[in-house]
Amino acid sequence: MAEVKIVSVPTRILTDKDDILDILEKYTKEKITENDVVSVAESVVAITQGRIVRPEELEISPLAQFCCRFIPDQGSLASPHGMQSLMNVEGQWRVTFALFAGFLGKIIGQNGLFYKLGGEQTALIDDVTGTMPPFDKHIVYGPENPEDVVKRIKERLGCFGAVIADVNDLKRSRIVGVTDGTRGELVAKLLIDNPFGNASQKTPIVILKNFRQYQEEQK
Amino acid sequence: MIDVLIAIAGVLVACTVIVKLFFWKEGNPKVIVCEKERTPFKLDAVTEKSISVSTMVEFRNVGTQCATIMDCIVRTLLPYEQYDGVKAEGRAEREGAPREDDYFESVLIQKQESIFIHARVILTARKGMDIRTALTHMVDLPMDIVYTELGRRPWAIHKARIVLTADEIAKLAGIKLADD
Repeated sequence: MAEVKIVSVPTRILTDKDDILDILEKYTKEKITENDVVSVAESVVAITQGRIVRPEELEISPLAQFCCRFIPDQGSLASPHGMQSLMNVEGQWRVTFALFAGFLGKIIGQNGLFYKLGGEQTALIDDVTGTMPPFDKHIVYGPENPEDVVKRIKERLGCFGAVIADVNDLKRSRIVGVTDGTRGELVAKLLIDNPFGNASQKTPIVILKNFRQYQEEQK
Repeated sequence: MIDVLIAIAGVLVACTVIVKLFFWKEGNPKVIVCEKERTPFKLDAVTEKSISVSTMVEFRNVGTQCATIMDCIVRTLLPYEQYDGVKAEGRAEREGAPREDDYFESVLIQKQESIFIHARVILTARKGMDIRTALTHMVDLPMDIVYTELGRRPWAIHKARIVLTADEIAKLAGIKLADD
């Protein structure tokens, strides 16, 4: 049985001045084969795309202040800033409608409607404190065009596949973008223990060695 | 027609009351800085030219929702018009998360919980004096702990004031104040 080796790759802190493809090439080129899958942390891809905003830059609407009150206080959309940043990209009425639909859905026992109807950024936005310094004072959106990004990563590095993953220490592992032919659910399972590390660590890249053989055996 | 309008108005009023009750029940974060209960200043380091002292201040979230402290600085207020024998610099550092870069990492304070901030001041002698000589003419040094808080309401800057008295610093430095 093929054994997948999980290799965390440390980097310097990446910013919006960096190109994620160049960075991946620089830090992983010598370590990757055609059997491997490269996974990149979702927030880091977003940061390199410049998809960040400071709370001070947002104009908070009364609607955002109102809507955020219905999100449990641990959530990224529980602050007026998180909610406003979502409304700015997905539309304030869409978000409001999704919130209302989510509320009605809960009454009839159907959870998750808000995240289904509110747009893809609903589940991807990280509020202040959600990312390592110096971005701990920013709201970080989800990455733009994740499917295109992973496709270009695979082409550039010549690896078996590439994914953008949203993983945390609370055993949440979600694939945001995945190349054709790579089974995202298998990758998500392998990343469940968060090899990216916690917020203080600088390992936004994880290589899954021998993933191709592992996937073939799972069929 | 009137009945329909009254019914609509009734539903709107009922919804407003329910939402207000919900908000009231949920409450808000409320961070208070317990500056009056701060620990006494303690000596951290002393050299020929400078002295570093600190106190610990509790930030208590007495509210019912999670609060965020996005940034925190210690602003010393020693104008040279008042005393130009030392330069004062302040730092805020979270208890249990020491940093050498003077960067304050944003932090959550869960409801009914506290974090503790070390308010540190570094006094450096000026005009070619050593620190002990310079401190003999020291005056009371006010410091503002300035922090950015956010939670269920938009971000806002708050301040709390503590004072490092001349007597305290003289005691820590082991000197006697001059009778100016």
